[in-house]
Amino acid sequence: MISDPLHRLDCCVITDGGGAMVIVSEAVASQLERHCVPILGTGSFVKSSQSGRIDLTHTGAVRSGPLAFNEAEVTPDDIDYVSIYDSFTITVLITLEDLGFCERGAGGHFVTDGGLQAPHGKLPFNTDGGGLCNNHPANRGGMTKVIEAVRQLRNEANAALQVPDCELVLAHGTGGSLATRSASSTMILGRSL
Amino acid sequence: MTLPAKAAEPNSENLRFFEGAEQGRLVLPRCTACGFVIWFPREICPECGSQDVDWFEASGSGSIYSCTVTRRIPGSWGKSTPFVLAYVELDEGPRVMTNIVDCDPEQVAIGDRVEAVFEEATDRDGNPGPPLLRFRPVEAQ
Ligand SMILES: [Zn+2]
Repeated sequence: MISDPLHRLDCCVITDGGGAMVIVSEAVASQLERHCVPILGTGSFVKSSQSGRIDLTHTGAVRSGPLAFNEAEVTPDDIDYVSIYDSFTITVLITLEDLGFCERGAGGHFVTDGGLQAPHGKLPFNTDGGGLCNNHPANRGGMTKVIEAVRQLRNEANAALQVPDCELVLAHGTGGSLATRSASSTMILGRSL
Repeated sequence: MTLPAKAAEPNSENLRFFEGAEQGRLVLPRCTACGFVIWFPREICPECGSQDVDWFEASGSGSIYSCTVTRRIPGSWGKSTPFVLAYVELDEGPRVMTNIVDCDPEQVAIGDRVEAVFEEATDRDGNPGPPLLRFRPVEAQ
């Protein structure tokens, strides 16, 4: 036990690592040989300290999620794969609730039946292993989330974990102090321009 | 088990709070415009922006809003594990991040009633400074 109720394996690894994204116009993308994926919707929100009346049961994803879903004109039911920032297991549970993948308070139930497993779970998740099992490059845990989401869309994920017919993915990052001053970013990506 | 206690450096905005702490009293600012009780102590209201506050002695009573028992931590706190890190909701409204002391960490739970205590604190040179606000369980009546 590290800090009740978080055991050691509820806490992410700490690793080296990094990544980069290249974002281009559609005109440039159409001339590239590499499979480019469109950004369909984005949202960002910073949760404040709530004037000293902090509510620990949600993150800024309650606002960043709807912003991204509305812009992309899709709903959580439409998403084929998610990359969700996973500093701790609780980070994932609250974010799943905040983004609308399940009811508030139902995050634990949503994941315990294996629903996050790839490729055939109801919501395949973090197929690179995520922060909990594979990577957390300092304060850049969000970068690897986007990279794996793009791999899924390009059909370039680990073969055993590649989601069949993956057409719509969501990548979500959380930063700052998790409960009190957290920043949330949500991005929805599609398969082809 | 005593926890590390680093003394704060009072400034003109929060001096009344620390003067109260020296006397073992929880003194908080309240917005005279909208009535909001302000935490952390300062002379501006985070709700309405008014800089008109008065200071009053709070009850010092509250309930545990959330808590964890920290069992592994690097640095000087590592010698004090296990200890309780908590948010206490004061009866006047604010939720205060703090430690629960004078307790059996295994028995502390959300909803438990607690009361303010002020513990000796020292600055980085080891000199005494303003006491530090913490909380301890109140035995059920
Ligand atoms: Zn006010």
